[in-house]
Amino acid sequence: MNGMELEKLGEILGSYVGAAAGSLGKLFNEGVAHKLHKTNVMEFSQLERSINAVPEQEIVAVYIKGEGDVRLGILLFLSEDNAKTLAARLLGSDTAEKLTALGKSAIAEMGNIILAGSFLNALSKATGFKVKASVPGLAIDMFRTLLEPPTIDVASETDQVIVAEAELTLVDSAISATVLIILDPHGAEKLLTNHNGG
Amino acid sequence: MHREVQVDMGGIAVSNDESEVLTTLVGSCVALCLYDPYAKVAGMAHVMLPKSNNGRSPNGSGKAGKYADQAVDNLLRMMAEKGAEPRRIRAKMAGGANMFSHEGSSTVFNIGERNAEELRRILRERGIPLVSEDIGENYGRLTRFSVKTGELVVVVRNSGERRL
Repeated sequence: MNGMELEKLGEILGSYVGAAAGSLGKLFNEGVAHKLHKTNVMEFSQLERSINAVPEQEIVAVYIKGEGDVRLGILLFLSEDNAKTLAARLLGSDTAEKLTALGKSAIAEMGNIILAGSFLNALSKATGFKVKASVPGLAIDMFRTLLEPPTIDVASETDQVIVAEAELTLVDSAISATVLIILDPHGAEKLLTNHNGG
Repeated sequence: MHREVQVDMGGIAVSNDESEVLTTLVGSCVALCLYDPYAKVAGMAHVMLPKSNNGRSPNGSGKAGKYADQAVDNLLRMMAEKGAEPRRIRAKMAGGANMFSHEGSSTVFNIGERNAEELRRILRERGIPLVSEDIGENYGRLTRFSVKTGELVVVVRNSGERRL
């Protein structure tokens, strides 16, 4: 995949991220800014160095795998403090001291809404692809260890992956989350060929 | 003073330099550590998947530690090149966690245990004793494997160190 194709793919993925940002905004009744950083092709072993996160950094992550006409892994992650604040808002609570089981469930559902409900739905609408989303998985751990499941899913038969990193920011509360999209080169080519702007 | 040698995802490192410590972070992947205590040769592989490509690619992976079957053979070969004797080699391993909750909906969520099971089977087949392991659960592990002593230190978030 050459530079121009990667740039085009970035625009395409950016449009799906835009849909995810829209639903995040509705969820919190707040404006959401989104920015897709450069889309890259790399060996999976370089992933951790290419992403704006420290390997040992503790994060809260929601993971959804898309399977069907295209296979991709989408990881939404944010700091524990930001996750606590968002969970409290979702649950209508004033305090955000601890991420309870209910709070974790709320964050997982938020991930489900914006990733499966909006991102993958936008992808399906624009390509006609059937993509089945997995149940959202939630974890709190070191960033690098949470990068493994999407990498394993996408790179099971290839050493090369396409990765796009996007940032979503709730404008008023200045809370940010990162969306990491990982797909294999074959899937990326299919997206390029079949995306029709929805 | 130790020098840390970082093993990337799917990678391998082998050393007979006693000042070195082989290190990696694992979630559902497994840090497989082999050691010849006589020659003081240590090897670590960051194993991601049980089998090499399910036969779909004849070339497997350019990453020597990615698949369990290739990782064990690559480690044994590279350690032999540094003077290790297969009959003296002992194994330890850590990782194989189930990182994301809502398990059971997809094979990805139990890949950790499958990785560990496949490694146990291959080690048995190659006649390499597995002397200790710290496998499973739902958390990441920072692993440090000493070339000097063959000790594997496993650091887990909020629960300190384990020495294998």
